Amino acid sequence: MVKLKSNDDKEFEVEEAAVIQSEMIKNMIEDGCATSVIPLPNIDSKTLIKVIEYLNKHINMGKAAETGEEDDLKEFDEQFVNMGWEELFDVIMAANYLNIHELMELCCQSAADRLKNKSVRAVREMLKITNDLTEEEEQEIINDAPWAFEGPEIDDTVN
Amino acid sequence: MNTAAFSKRKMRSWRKSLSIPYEITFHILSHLPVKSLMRFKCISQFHNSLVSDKDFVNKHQSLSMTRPGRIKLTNKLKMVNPPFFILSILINSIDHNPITSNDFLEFVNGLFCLSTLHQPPVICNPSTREITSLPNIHVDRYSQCSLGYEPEEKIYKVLFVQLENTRIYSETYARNWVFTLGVDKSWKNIDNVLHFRRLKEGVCINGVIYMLNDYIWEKTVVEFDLKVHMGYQKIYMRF
Repeated sequence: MVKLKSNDDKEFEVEEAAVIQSEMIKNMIEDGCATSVIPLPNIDSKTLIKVIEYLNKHINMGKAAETGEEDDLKEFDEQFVNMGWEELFDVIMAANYLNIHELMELCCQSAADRLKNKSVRAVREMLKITNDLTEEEEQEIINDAPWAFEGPEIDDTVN
Repeated sequence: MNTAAFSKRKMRSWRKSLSIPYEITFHILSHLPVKSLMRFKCISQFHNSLVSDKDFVNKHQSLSMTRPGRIKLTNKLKMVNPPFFILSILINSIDHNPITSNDFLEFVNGLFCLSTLHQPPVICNPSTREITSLPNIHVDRYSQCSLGYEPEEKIYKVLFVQLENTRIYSETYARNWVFTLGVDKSWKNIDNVLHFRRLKEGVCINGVIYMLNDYIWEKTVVEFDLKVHMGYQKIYMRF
């Protein structure tokens, strides 16, 4: 068992087989740097619980194909990303920090799916971006590809 | 824009406008369809430059290749039955004579090249709906235009072969020009002269364009290496 500690000082025990899906922790264990508790100063307990839930479910990824559990895993993934926008971002940041490739892919795809049909204004708000383009520059981009700014699917809401 | 200047500007804009780490934005955006990306160029300076960044384009393309529903196309299509979408972009965007069955549409790594008699070749990117006409060059029925992709430097090049002295039974040679997309302003003449009888379609694999040189009793394959701009000839059949 490996012990992980979130930035709000909560400790979690995770099976080594599950936790080594994180390249970062795997390297730490291989280098013998994971003898006691591994502190994770960038991750809060709420997010860490989600990440551990994912790791435990995906513990035997390779075996899933043999035992026909692929559909089950797919269903779990769909349910897993069904979370709030802020929460999803916390998990993406954690997956990036811990270097868990599959989780990163899953969450980034979900984020992309949510952004895909959004208007420029909505995306700026969702990603907390201040516009630093001049009006002329913006108009030039629109004039280059006006078709990208038209269509019934474009959604101006933020959620 | 050169790479150093580009990344400096990119990073300055990045620090000013974002709290999400660079690699995460890169990752999320690479999962988006082209229409969204063309629109999201308007989000900020950083997003505008990211969408045209070579590494980003590559990552986006390799992800698109693994998705279901991607179009599979052969390298060369006679314009008898062209993909309708490409045709509609070409017709809407350029002042073009009616496209005939003598015209060729070539496809390499996401780009199309249309060659039509008596007109300079046209490059079309169906994803972004961009059309570029190449500089003028004399296109006749003894010339051949081949679009190629050089994967190491990640650049597209067009090889233009013009047959000279095309009388029957006499030795035919070819002059070659290369045009590098996004770099060259005009066609570059290549000293390396290839010997040809009659040209047939070419195909680009791993940065090398292979063309079939087909003449009654001799068939050869002419290879043209896009990296070193050199041509070689290999005989594969002789009657």
